[in-house]
Amino acid sequence: MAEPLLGLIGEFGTADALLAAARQAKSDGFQRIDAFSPYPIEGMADVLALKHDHRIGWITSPAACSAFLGCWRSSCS
Amino acid sequence: MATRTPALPLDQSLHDITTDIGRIPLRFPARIPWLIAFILSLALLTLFLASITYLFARGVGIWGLNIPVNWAFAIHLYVWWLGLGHAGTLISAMLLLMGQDWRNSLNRFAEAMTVCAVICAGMEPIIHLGRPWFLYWMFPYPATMGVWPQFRSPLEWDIWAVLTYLTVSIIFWYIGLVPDLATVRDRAKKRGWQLFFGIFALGWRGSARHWAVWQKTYRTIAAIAVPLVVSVHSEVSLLFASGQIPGWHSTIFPPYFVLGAAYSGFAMVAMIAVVMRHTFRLGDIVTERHLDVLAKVTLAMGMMTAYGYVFEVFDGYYSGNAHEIATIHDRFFGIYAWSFWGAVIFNFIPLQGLWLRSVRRNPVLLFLIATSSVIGMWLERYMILVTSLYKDFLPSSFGHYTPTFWDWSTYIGMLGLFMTPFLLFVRYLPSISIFEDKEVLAREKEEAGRG
Repeated sequence: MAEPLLGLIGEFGTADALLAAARQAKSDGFQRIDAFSPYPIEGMADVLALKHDHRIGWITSPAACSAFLGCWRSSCS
Repeated sequence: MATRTPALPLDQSLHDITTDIGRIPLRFPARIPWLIAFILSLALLTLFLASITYLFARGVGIWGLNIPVNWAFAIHLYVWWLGLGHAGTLISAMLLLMGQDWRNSLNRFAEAMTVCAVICAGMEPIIHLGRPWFLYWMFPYPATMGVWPQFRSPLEWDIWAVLTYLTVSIIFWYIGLVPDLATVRDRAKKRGWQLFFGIFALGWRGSARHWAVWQKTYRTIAAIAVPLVVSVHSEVSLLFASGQIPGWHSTIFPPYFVLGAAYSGFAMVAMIAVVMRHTFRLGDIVTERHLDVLAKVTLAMGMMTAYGYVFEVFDGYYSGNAHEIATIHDRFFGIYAWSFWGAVIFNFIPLQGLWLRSVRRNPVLLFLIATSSVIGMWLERYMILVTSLYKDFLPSSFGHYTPTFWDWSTYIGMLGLFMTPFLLFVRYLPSISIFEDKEVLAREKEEAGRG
């Protein structure tokens, strides 16, 4: 009885090898991939096509606006 | 591209960097010197606490300040501390945005120095308040009394400048620390340390997603931090320049102060770098090249500060204003001339040694020159403050200023307020950036491999 395949891990010696492998995996159609490295690798986010996450901006911008308005309002009273 | 001398020796592996730096918090190498320094700084901190307890009980009258010199050590040291802090931000944030590799061995402890120095700077106006328990009146909160802060008051500017700067400095320092906290977490053997570093590492795993978010955040905060150096220290200079006192009322003050701040700060970073390099034997991480570059930047900032001196004098004469000229003469020959000439000598005479490469790369000489700069800038702040205030327009209101025992004890004790958190940082956190040094080393190895 074959175990279901949960995932695959590979270890790479250099940043370039990791980048090449990520590019290869992406072009082979793998979707849920990630890369782990001890320091940020130039271009990795593009290769993995990471989506930009704007959730924090959507929380902080209204908070900043309302704080500013609150201060302004209380100064007018 | 022309081959550059690598910032880090290429004969070490990435793992060596982790071991070299990660060992400091986990298996602390210099226990005895650290303990001696820590006991000393706790003693100073106790002196500080005793001094401010007496201050709060008796009021600012225990200090030597009076009319006409009504700002003395507290404001002088406020400027001095804040100036020391600015180099941390310049090294970390400005050089990050400019892509200067060599900052990576220096940025972490420079940022920690910034945070500690800004805390000390922030204390100064507070203890100078006279009624520090009304500090909260400076905050724009909806008070039932209808009290609203006076935004035209320099004191109010201080609150905003220091709080903004402190917040941004702490956030920047912490964000840069997160990946390294994870490294130390993974190397910690004891459960307590794993928990401690684990909590503050925020679940960092080094995933490409983490790095993408991290880089964006780090660079954004850096871009916010750099202009703050200029705005915060300009604000500090405007405390003086917006007054009409001769010797203060000058448009040269903001750039003059910002450069002087950066100068004293870089000198301070050089001092700390030399000490850390020696104590923890980090010669492979903080190399001679780092000292060399740091010395060059200090020299450049020092020469620009010297230019400020020249122009301050020129401006005074050029104004043709009798009071301005009188103040300049007074700085040259008056009873506080020692502070002017002391500043000139300590700031600019030993500094000239840094033109020589052999001096720049000599840790002992660099340390001594940097110490001289920090002392020189201390005297400069004293000179600017006291020589302008003690003689203004009317001879009937001339006076003089002598610091009392409590002035000195508050100042010397405050060195403990600076050293205690800094020593704790060195002891318990990765005080040099592990992953940023790896990044540099990996790139340099790659460049060396390509030839």
